[in-house]
Amino acid sequence: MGDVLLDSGILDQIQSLVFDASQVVSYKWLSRKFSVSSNAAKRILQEFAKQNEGNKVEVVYTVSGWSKCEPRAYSVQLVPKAKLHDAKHEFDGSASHHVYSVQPCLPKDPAQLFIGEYVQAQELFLQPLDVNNCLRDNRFGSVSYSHVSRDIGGSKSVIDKHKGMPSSSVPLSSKTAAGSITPKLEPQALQPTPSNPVSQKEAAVKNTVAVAVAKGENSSKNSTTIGVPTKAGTENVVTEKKKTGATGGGSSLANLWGRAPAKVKDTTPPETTAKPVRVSGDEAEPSSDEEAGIRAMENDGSEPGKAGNRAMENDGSELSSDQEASDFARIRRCQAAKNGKGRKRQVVFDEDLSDDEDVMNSQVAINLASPLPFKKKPQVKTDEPKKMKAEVKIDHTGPTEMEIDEEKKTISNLQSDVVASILEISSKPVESSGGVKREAESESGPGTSAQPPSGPKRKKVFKTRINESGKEVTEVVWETNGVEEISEGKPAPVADKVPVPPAVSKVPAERPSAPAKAPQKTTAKGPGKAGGKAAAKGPGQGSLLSFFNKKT
Amino acid sequence: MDVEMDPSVIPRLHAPYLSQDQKYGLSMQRYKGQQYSQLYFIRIVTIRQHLTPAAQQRWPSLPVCNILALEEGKTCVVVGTLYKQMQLKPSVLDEYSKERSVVPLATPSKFTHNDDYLILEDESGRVKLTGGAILASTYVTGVVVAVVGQEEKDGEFLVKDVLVAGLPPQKPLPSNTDEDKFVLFVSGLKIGGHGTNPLDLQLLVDHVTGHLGEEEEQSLSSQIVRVVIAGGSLDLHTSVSNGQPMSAKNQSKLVEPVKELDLVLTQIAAAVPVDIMPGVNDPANFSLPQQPLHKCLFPGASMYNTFVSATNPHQFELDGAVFLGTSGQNIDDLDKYSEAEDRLDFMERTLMWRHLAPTAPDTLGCYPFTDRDPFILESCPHVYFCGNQPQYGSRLVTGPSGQKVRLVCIPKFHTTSTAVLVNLKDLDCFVLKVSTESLIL
Repeated sequence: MGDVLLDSGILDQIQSLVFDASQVVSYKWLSRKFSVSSNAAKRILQEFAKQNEGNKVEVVYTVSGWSKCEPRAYSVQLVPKAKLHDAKHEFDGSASHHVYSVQPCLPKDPAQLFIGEYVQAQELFLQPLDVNNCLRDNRFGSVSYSHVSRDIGGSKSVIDKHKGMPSSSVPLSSKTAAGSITPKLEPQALQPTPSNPVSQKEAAVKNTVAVAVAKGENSSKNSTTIGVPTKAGTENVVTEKKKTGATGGGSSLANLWGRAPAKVKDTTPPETTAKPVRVSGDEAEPSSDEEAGIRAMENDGSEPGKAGNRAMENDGSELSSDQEASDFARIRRCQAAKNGKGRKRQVVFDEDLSDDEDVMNSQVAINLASPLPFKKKPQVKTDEPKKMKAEVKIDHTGPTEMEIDEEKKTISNLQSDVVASILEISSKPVESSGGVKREAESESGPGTSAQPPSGPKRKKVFKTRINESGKEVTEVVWETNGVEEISEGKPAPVADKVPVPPAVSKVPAERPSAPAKAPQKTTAKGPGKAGGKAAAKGPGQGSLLSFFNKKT
Repeated sequence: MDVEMDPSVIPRLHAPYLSQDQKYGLSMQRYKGQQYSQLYFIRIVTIRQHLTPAAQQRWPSLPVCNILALEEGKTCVVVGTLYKQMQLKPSVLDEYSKERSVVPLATPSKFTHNDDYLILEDESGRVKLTGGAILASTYVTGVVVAVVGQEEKDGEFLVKDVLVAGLPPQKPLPSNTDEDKFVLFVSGLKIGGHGTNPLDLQLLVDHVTGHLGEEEEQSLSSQIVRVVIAGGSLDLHTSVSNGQPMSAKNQSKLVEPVKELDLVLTQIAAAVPVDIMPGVNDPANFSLPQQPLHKCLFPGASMYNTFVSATNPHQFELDGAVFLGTSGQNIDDLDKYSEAEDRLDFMERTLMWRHLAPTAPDTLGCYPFTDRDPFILESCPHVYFCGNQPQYGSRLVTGPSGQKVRLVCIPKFHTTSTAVLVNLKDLDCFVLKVSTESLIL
């Protein structure tokens, strides 16, 4: 067998991995990669080490045996080739050894030997639970245990290693004999091992992404994924994500979760704050924060926009708009047409609040518990179509951006689905979007700015205070994920603000200007937001300062 | 090179397993504000049942009386619970007196002192023990003993001899197996901890699962019938949780080691049965008995029938051999409040005292049981192990009525890279040491 295997390309591949990609190839990685048993993999590496004796390749051996020293101990050591001879002296009698790994040079930290293997193991580990792969049945190990069974949510699957072994190895040798060098030799035998040698490193860096991908994948998909691993660029990922979104277990549920924030959003007056977030995102962290902005915009734009529009047409017959609010599809359709207005509407909302302060207050207080009840608010606000119109004019400052956002919207929608499907539990919609961010981010490396990854991180925060008229007001603040956090974003208290009526009412004159500024981009964001915040929160909370601190 | 590609796969040996963790379970307990008095009461009543006959047998001429009935100058046997008066014993009140205290408050890791003395208590009263026959340094609070002696003029009790409960009866080790079957013990993996080497752990896993080595090593691996992880598996960065809502970054920081452990457990469980016990810093309850780590922590591993999440004193029967052990809290606590040459002595003492954790509930957290004291040893295990110890140690203790107990100190893996294997057949044991030190240039 060996020769067949060796002649047929595995050795060449190891060669290219070691010398070109400077990768550590350990026997276990090899065995999982090429679906051979561990023992066979050791022999392949042995052969490789022999062939490349003169070359610059470092071989690490495992030496094991009974050690001479007390107490009685069986010792397993990893030693570099240079020390192999000495190491064997420490053993009592016959120590056995085999190649553990080959690599271009010895890493300073021994744990480096382990990284490739660990990444691979994680990929296997994170495959859907019903997939049975070589990590889960230990099929490449040389010791079988017949009493193991794995319970996949009810149906027990007895792991039979004996079955696994031949199916994995036999087809392999035949294939390799035919000269195929593709790493995915036998999709069903080698259960999804998405990355190919070259992209392995990539995978190491963004392994979470791979994870995300791998999760949704079943084996049939896997083949396609493997087919194009080297250009794991954006589109590739996107398509994969789409797939996952579409095929993922509870996609309908996922939709729900993915969408839920939008609902919440619409009642808030994010105009002032959400905009700046996006702007800042454009600068600091193109992909993810942009996305955040987009989301906010989309959400803001969708419902209120429609509602506002409707208000103009129907003179405030809100019921219909509410119903529509729950209908995502329609929202999306309308959004394109009306998003500009939608943004303004929030301003109106604030104005309205000043009028109906008491009503609003009570509503806020009641509805805080869950995002859904906020749906009702548009009713209150849109009572005054005229004002809306007025606002519309004022707010027409940043239309281009809005359009861009629209385009991106679909993508982000998709991703939100993915997001939700990935996070199985995701009890809170908010968190679901937040949790995934990390994964999405890591993939959106350079040049992916056009393609926004998953949603922003938001945290719902309740703040209670006493307003001027001595009433207790509880506000819900959506803290949008921070601008400065790049890798794993901590939610910075940049907030899409939720109705904070009274403070706004105090400064009606300022209102239009503050929000209007926001869309004007970049530098304006600070003041714009500050204005919004200060107005909303009132002085004395210290949040203004803290906000600036975070920002810089 | 023209051998067949898959060398014959070695079948792993199997040993029937019976968990005996029920008595450490808390699921039936309802806390109603009870105190620890019942626990001490049950303890003295239960152990006295064994001590009184033993004392009568040993000193047939002497009466057994309670503390209230002591008379000056009259020699008798008294059975009671020891209380150790320790001047260095930390007290919660010290925190409040800190500002005003003149003496600097040292915070030693060991609280023993030459001036410590013992007090014997039973239901009727308490008496101070004197005399060289009973050393305060070897005993701790909570041990039930019988002492022989007489009351002195000053009301102290001069001890002439001490009797402890001794090894409990043991059921014979079945000798029907002639195969070598091993149980592998490991503790203190400390995944996620600073400076732990994941490669060492992976080597261990590879050995256990039969990947590593040539035929000899793999046949050795095939004889491992069970892996027991005796606590200390995780090193969670709990500092990030301060009661506030946690950022996603911190969440993942906190969760990452758990996921890693799940991966390790999955690999092991796919190949060999594995028990995991909670330890000091693991995400389980603090007080003994610690309840099993929740399965939702290990979504991958918990799908296997081979995966067992166990309580902290963990007792099970494997092929007829009884195993009992802890993650080390009881022994660590004894080390703080008493003295011995090594950890095995502490372990042996707990067996002799017939109590796994005498310092509970005094200095060791413990659930206030009202119906039983689960730490009392009714029967003697064949293997008594203790996790998270500084170094490996092993001793075979033989009892007067033929009991044979293998004591095993399981060293912390993250510092020693050592696991311990115990042979079911003859209770022999040896260590498995993995090492990657040679790789460091």
